[in-house]
Amino acid sequence: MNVKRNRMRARVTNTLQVINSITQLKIGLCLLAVIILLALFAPFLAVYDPFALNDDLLAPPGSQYLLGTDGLGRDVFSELLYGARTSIFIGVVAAAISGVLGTLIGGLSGFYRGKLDSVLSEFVNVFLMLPTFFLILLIVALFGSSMLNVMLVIGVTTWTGNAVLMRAQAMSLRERTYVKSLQSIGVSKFKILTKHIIPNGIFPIIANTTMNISGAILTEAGLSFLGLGDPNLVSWGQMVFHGKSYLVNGWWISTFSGFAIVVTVLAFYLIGDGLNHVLSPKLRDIK
Amino acid sequence: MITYLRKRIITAILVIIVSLSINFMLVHLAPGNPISLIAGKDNPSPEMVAALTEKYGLNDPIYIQFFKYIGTLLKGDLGYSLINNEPVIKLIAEKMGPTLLLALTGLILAVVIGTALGIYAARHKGSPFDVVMNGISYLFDSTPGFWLGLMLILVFASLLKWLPTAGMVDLRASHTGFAYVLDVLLHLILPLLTVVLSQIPYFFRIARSSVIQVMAEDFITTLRATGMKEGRIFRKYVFKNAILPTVTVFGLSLAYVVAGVAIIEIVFSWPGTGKLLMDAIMKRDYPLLMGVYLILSVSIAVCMILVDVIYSMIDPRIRHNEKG
Repeated sequence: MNVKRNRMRARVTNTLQVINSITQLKIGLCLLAVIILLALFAPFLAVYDPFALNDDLLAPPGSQYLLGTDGLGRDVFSELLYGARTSIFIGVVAAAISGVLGTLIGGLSGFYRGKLDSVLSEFVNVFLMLPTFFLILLIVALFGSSMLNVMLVIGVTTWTGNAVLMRAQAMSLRERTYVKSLQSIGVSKFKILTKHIIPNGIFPIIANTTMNISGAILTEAGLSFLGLGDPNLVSWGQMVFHGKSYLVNGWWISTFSGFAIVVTVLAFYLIGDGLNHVLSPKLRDIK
Repeated sequence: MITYLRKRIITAILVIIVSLSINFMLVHLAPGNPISLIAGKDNPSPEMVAALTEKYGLNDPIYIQFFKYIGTLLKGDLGYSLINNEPVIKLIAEKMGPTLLLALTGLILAVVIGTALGIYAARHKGSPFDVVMNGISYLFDSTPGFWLGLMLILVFASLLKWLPTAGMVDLRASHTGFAYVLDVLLHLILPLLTVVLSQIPYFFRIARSSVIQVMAEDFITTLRATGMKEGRIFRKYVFKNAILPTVTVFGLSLAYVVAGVAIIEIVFSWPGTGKLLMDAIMKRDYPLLMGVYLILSVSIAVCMILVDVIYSMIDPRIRHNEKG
């Protein structure tokens, strides 16, 4: 029992040391912790209902409305808190979809090699060349802009990076002795892929998926800014768009909502980049 | 080199075919029937339905429809815009000029400035300049272009009143000749600054990391051991090797920037394809939307091939390696 606890403690200290040694990771995690806390406690922190309209149109930031009100009298601070939930949820789910797809396709391609690999690799090459944002835009415009659609479309169009990474991982892992031994004792290929190759090669995909959360949040914000966000949600992109019409007499609407996007995207971006540094000693030199 | 190029060209052709298929499939899979999508109305008149069914052969089997669709595209017919009933191809051609002006100038400036900064930072790794530039590059990478544009308008146009907020020319002034060019330039500054600032981090990071990587190579250490001057090593050996990744991503970014400036154009009411796109979305002008997408994906494929040709010419490792 004691040995186990000691080992746990050693692992925790080790993790903390790694986090501490990589500046990006440290700053990113701190930022993210604050954002998540704000989003979690939104109902307690928000002074007003983010959807509630009132007569104080375009009230400047002050003691009554911390960050002012927008053109319809909604409290900007409360909107920001609820917007964090939308952004993070869409970003995480979309990136997770792209992570799973990329891992499976890349894993199959790199582990099985042969014809399957040629076909899948060409597929990835073609997908890499498609103008993703426009494709997303087109699909969302045609099929409707519900949150589910937005997440699915972002996920399904952005998995290529993950597939490239996983393929490289699988190709190198399949040459390892333990994989060869598993094969020689007759373990099925699919089982080796799911039980050994993917778990052992997943780390770069985790780092990349964290970066993809940033990308997905930016894409969602862009879509909302173009009027293609889910109309039933509070979204930062929609707030920036709304504030665009009030740039002169209500600068705070666009400014604060855009700033929220920047901070959140930055947090995930720094964490992803930090994880990449943990992974590769070569990058650790570049920093 | 030939093998390599042949491979890339096959990929590009596949990209074009896939884009066409996606376009075709989207219209057929989208909720509602394709006729009302193409017609832009929920209840088009029976004559219109008959005419469109005839034109697009909607009663034919799906694969024949697909070949017919490719056939009309090959004739340069992207359909008619629903907003003003003009050919889609004409509308796009009209708006392409301002978009290219903004995208190309922006990208070239970003490549030059970003790469220069990246190289400088790499050669002074760990210096205050390097650290600060790194931080800034993260920050700008996380900033949505449309918001950056709005903030620039807020500061330089609304508060300081130095520059115009929107458009490409001052419509009231009706300038001609040199004054016109000057007016366009004045309107170009803010959107251009937005494009450049959002693209710089990308090129900064690529240049920085590839210079650092090349500097760590064994042959550079060997050259140092021979007593060659740092400046000479850099000019003759490091630069040539380190610039290659930038060339590769330049082609990719060219295409993405043309697509990416769309949102920035909307912020600045710049009269390019972005404005067209916004109108198309707002008014659900599907033929126009798909026309823009199609043209973009085809031009991306073309850009990529061009870049690959250039790349294979300047990189001796590809030039001399038949297997590529």
